[in-house]
Amino acid sequence: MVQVELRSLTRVFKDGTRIGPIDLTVKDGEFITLLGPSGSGKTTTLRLVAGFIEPDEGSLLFDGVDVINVPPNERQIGMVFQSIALFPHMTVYQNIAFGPEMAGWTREETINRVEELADLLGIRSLLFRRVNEISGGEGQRVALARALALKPKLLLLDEPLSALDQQLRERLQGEIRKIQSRLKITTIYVTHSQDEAFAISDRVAILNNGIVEQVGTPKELYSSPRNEFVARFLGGNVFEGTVESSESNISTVRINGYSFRVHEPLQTGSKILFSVRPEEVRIHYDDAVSYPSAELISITPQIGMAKASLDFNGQIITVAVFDLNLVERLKPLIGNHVGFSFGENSIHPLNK
Amino acid sequence: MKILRGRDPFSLTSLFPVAILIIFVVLPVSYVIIIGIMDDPVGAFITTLSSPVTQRTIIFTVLQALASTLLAVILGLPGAFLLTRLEFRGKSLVRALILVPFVLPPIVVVVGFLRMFGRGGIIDSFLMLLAGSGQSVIDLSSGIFGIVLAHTFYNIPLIILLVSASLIRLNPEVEESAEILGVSNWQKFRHIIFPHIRRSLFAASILVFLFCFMSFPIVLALGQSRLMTIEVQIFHAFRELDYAGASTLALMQLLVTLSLAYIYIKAGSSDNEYMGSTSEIKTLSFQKMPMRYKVTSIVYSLLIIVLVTGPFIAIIESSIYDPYVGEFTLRGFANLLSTGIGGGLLPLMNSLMYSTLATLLTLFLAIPLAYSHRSKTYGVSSTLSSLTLLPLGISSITLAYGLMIAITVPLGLTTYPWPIIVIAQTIIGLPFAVRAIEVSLQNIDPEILDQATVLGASRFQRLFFVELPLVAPGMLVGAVFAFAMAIGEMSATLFIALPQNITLSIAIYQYLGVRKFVEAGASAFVIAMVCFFAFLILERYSDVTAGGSP
Repeated sequence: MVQVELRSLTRVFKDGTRIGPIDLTVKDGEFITLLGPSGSGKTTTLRLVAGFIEPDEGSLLFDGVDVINVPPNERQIGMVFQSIALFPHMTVYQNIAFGPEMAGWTREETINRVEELADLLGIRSLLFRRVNEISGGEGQRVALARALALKPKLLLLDEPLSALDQQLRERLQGEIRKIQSRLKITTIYVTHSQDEAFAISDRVAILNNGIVEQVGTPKELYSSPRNEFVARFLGGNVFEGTVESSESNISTVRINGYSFRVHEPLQTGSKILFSVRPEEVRIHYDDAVSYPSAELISITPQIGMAKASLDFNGQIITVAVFDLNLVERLKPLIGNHVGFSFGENSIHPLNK
Repeated sequence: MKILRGRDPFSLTSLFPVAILIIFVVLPVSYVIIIGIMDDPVGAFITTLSSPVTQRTIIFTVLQALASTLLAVILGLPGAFLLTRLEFRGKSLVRALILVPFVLPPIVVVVGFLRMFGRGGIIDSFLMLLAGSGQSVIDLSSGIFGIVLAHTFYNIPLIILLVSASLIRLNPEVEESAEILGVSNWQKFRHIIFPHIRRSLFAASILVFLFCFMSFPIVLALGQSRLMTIEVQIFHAFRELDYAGASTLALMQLLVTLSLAYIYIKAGSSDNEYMGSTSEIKTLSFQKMPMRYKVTSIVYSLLIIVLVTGPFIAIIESSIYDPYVGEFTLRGFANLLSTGIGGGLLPLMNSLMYSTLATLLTLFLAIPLAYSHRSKTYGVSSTLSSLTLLPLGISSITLAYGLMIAITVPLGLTTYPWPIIVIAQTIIGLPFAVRAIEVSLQNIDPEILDQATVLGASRFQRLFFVELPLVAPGMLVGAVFAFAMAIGEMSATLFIALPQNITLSIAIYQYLGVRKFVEAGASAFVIAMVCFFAFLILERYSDVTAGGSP
């Protein structure tokens, strides 16, 4: 469809909020998600791509052609807004047909296109309802059909599922992904939910304070976060320490007055920042002596695992425990100290 | 290279209405003030203020406004509680109908009032029958009593609506928390409910006081030229060519009304405390009420029904019943088609023409004003907003007086003043029309407009197919407001009009003066029907109350 390149896109708003410089390439047919906390600039970035906001600097290329001066209605994009924004004074049919009608398609072409999309999204029976007579999930499908009506080259989705309940959201995530793969349409999706981003995307761009912190596949991001923000945002434990000694791939790092063995060659005397994922922290319930110890604060059961929280001299460490026997043994120990360590190859050095 | 996009296309067009407001509101009113101050500044003030007539006028104006406000609050407050808390069939109908008095023009109310409460009116006839007397027993419609009663009739609905709007937002859990802590009903009212409604009650009272303070047609018609408000005295002073006196009075009145309007806007704008969902409001069914409450609320409801619906029914009766001859007749309606001297056709045609023109002009001004209020990118927006609201704090007579001395006379329009009538009617209705359109604009999700753009709609297509259909109900409401207010407007019109320019409202006043009651009744009925129809449209398309309060 189209390859989209954001090159040093920058915009400073009157109140001093700054977005960018953002560099990001969305490949032809790719599904990319902008993920970040609220206020990180996801929606603004999307609106820059749509053309509703003009950048102060930088360029925006669609297949290598700069589109900064192309108004939004000529960029050949489809967009679903957070509020869905269906036209309240029209029927479902009229909503979907709006784009083709404005573009001057013939009646027959329009009807065919609307019916095709209605079948694709399973909303054929709703076509002649008014938009206040359909449910939230149906509204999302109508909004998606409307966005796709003009066969756009690029699809922009701004938290389209945020108002729906969990089950419906998961079902629609699957449908959106399926339709996107079938149409092979380049798609930029915005969400603040890590689960949603990882479930639906080819690649994810993590945004913070108006800049892209890291771009990668969900697996890449999870296994090798580049900096502290990404590591923490994806739920990792971040530690800072000094390397005491290092020999043949095993080093000792001193953190909060305790020595940790890590399976990594490091330079003695250097300070390092690294993250450890919750499932790579090991708890030694019967041995708080030979391992560094921390107070066990709580254990929360979750699907297929339990989440344990440790208080390590004021730093909260999250641990994913998959061994349900271990969970049972840990429960009586809440409030006591337990030992913990890091698994092999489990530390991921971070840029400061 | 950047191109200009997203700039509000209405920002430039709003300059036109601003110019109109400056020329036809700011300029004339400033002119009035300047005349008042410049023309022998100390002397005029002292002469005017030391005159016993003026002193009586000022005292009467304040006293009747205070009395009317107090009575409207006392009678309206229980209604607000009943309307919010009591569960009964037809509640939404009552809630809607309670607005009706408010959309009726004052001179129409006067007709209903005279017929209902006046000498030989419905109540009087009933009492005469009871007493078996041929003499009139009671006259509740004249003098200060009649004026205060008419003002009360007018403003009870305002108190009920504004206060119940606030009551409905009292989070029931707040009240329940107090109940659990063991408070009595009185303590609950004193410490929980009253603090909650205090602000809206205050704002509503200010508004009622403002309306009564500026009241013209009711005082003119019921005061029998013995009782004058400042407004009425300005009217007479101008008629007697006492420009200095008129200006001094107008200046004094302006200081009071503008301050009150300012206080009202300030008080009304910050009423968002203790927000609760309106659906979970605590209600009570009639059967479950204690006996004494039942009796009180029945007596109260009867009183309100007589006071509020009585005059409305009386208008219908007075349009077909001649109290002198004592028979039913269609003469009043026939008169509306008669072209002779004192005939109703000319006023009817004038009314229709002026009101239609005023409505068109209002829309023409209100649409760009409403749009420019919405755009926050322009710092002038708040200035514009106060400029639009300005007519609310300027009395119709002051405005008309200003228009006469600053526009009509210098332009030589004195023999041909109808365009000025249209402009006066436009300006008086403008704040309401702007508010109605503004509300419908605010309700449009901006993402809907962006959506239309993304789908390839040009600016024109977006405006025509998406934006206008969404704003259309608001425009209809605005237009209906403008028309109803224009056709009922009597003060400024009477001030400006020559005999060939009289409208139906003025004709009613004149008919009353020469005791042609059935002619007055039929004319009042026509206007009342227009207003009732307007009210039906308002009910259908808007959730803005006539108070224009948020």
